[in-house]
Amino acid sequence: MKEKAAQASFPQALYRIFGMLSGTPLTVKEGKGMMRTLPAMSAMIETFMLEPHISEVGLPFLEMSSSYLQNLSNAHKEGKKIAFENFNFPPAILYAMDIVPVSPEVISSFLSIGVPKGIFRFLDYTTGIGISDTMCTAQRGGVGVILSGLIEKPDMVLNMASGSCDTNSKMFDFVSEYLDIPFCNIDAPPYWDEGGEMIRYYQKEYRKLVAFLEEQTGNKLDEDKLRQCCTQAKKQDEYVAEIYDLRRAVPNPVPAVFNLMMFGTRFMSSGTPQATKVMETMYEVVKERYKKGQGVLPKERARVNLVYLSHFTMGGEFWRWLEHNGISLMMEGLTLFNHQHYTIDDTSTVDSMLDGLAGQAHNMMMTKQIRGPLDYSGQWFEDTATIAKDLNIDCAIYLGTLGCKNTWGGIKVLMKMIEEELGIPTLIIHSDAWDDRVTPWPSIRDQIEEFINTVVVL
Amino acid sequence: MELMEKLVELAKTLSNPYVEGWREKGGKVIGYSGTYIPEEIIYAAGILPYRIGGREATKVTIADMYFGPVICNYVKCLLENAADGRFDFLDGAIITYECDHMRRIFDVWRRAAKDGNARLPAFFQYYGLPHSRGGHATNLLMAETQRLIAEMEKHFGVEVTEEGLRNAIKVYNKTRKLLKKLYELREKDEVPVTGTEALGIVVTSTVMPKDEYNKQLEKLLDELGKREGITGRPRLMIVGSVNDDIELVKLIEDLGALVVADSLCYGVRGFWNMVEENEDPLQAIVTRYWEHIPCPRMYGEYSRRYSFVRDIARSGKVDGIILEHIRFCDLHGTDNALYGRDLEAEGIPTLRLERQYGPLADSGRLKTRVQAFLERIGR
Repeated sequence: MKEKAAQASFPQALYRIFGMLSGTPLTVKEGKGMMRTLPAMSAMIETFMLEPHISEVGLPFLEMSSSYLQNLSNAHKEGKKIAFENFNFPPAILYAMDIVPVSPEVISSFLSIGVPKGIFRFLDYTTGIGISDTMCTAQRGGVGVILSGLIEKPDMVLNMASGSCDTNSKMFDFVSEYLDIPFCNIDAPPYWDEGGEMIRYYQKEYRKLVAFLEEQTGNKLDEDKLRQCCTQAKKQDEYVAEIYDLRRAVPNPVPAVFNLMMFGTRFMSSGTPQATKVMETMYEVVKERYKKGQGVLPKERARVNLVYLSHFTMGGEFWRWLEHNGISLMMEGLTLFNHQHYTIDDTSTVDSMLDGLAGQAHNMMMTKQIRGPLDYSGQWFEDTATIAKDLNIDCAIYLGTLGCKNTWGGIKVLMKMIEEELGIPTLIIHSDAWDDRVTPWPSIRDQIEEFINTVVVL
Repeated sequence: MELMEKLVELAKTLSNPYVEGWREKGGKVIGYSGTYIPEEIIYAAGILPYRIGGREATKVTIADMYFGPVICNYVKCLLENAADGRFDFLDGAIITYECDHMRRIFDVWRRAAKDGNARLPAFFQYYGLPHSRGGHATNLLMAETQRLIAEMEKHFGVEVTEEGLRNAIKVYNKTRKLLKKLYELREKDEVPVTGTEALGIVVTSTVMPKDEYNKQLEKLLDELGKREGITGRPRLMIVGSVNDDIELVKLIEDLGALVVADSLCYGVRGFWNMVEENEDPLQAIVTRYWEHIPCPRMYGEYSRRYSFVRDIARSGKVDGIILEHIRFCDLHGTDNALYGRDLEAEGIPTLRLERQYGPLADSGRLKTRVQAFLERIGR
């Protein structure tokens, strides 16, 4: 009984908070007042609602986040299946099949951004049941929530990190075994090739996924529903591409926290009308600012490319702090799907749509850049070089997370290549994007500040 | 047991008289990173396949310059050995995606060589390895294997023929059968070979020409048939991360245990499955390497691995299992969590042991943990 109550309360509490905030446009003065009255919500308010140009996107983003959690809370009551899936998987196909996605990385990030120290006990829970403390906190937090019974048990596990991240994949493998639920592995091919054998391999893997979903739900994929989701996903891709073009402007008109909202939208709700609304609003806000010549900062001290993760603790202070210090966040790794090598451009047949969705998933960060050798065509260095040229980057920073062996293995070589071949200074910081106990935020902040002041801005 | 001492001794060093002799005769040597790389295609090209290992490295100074802090020490030791010139005898190397740590050797070794910190073999290849099952995965792997063969033929001016592959399959299957016989001896109540010796023999199988190795192992098996067996010691099995360091097993056996079985890649997982001899040889080789007892890199296949471990444990009549993993090895660390749960539920005691790879820097801690385990299992 207690467990049931807990299961109901966790996502419900979160979605009701998000829902309440999203329906409450605030003035700056009201927002500050609310932060004093309700300190537990202050991080969310400050990150998504306080500044008017942020809140225009922040409110629909919170509304969308609320729906994501509400769907999760109601899934089994409504007879829907829950799929445990990775962040690097645009879930449009799941929405097309009435399956409710839950990504541990999304849950971890809600906890670490929204609730001070909120993730710690769930990280510790996972080590308590035998998961190594060297596994990635991005999954461990969300997995801790699920395995401790605060979210209803998923019905299936879909691993899309195969071929790009062992740690992530292994956690999914573990959850499937631990909870005794069906598992589907969707493997990214060993390296990138343009229009060749590798993408065809991935398209076949994607068909395998669809067959698995049909088997698990007992329902055939509905072409009309698929087309609706693909049409939405295509529009979202177009807004992402437009925003990328606008980032080229000096000063950059895209607020730092829009990166979080952009990849968060794709991770949670790709293919839904709510996601299109967020992306459309984001595009309109950025376009308006661009037209007015309005940068995020009146004067950019440095244009930064975060080559992989940002930092998801301290109530989202990371993005605010950058801007307060004259640092323009041009790109962060999780938004790297800007490079639309493949997209959903043909919605005429089921096959063309599935190929498009496979291409979109194949294009996701980690799936695309991180898997093959660093200097192979279309891999991490080449995309970093393209961004550097397109967006006039001044420096590259890597915030390394403890669990991230796939990037830690090659980051020093990558950064040397960036310095030598692109002439851009680099900084590597040992930290953990979800666990401030590894390196406290003030220490990370000081290292970035010192680097910008002494190396980048001369 | 001079022959035993000789074969075990060969496992302690990277270069050895057989490799040196091979090269003196003008033979070429290709290093490979692990058990997913089909040795037979290298052998069929008339080149000596040689599994690169981490033993002999006593520091990771150069490796730390190129790898991040959360990378496993075995892989760091590989780079360190390259940096210290211990792989200078290699004419080629093939690296594959066995794990996130190992695949980056392909990047860092090249970079260290560019910086003048290591010598890079002239032939240096990445062998793309998928993770999924199914016809399209086998096809991709076949295409990668054919590409690798073509690169090898071009670089070394050799030819890999069907006849050459068939011969390689016979030679390699013979090695596997002989090693299985060795492992069957370990299942006996009176065990004529220690775990330390068995690991040495397996490691040596990866660093000397197979034809010669087979002759010597056959002879050794005859000798072992007459050797007095060991009894009365707790029988242990080791499961987990890569280990080519016989000192680790020696440390366990010096505490009074006898290691009689394993599920390791320098062990049963490396030689258990045969290549089918009556099929298209290249297809048969690819299928064998792809379908062999899976390493934890293959997701969704835990139950297959578990059944294998449980069966080996039962055949070996083990009193307990050490589930070891090198720090930061999430693949084995995670499987070990599940093995611990499931084996204990079946009444088989387990010890989860996180360790560092290398010259037993934490031997004191390991001894204490193993001693406590032996007390727990009452032996």
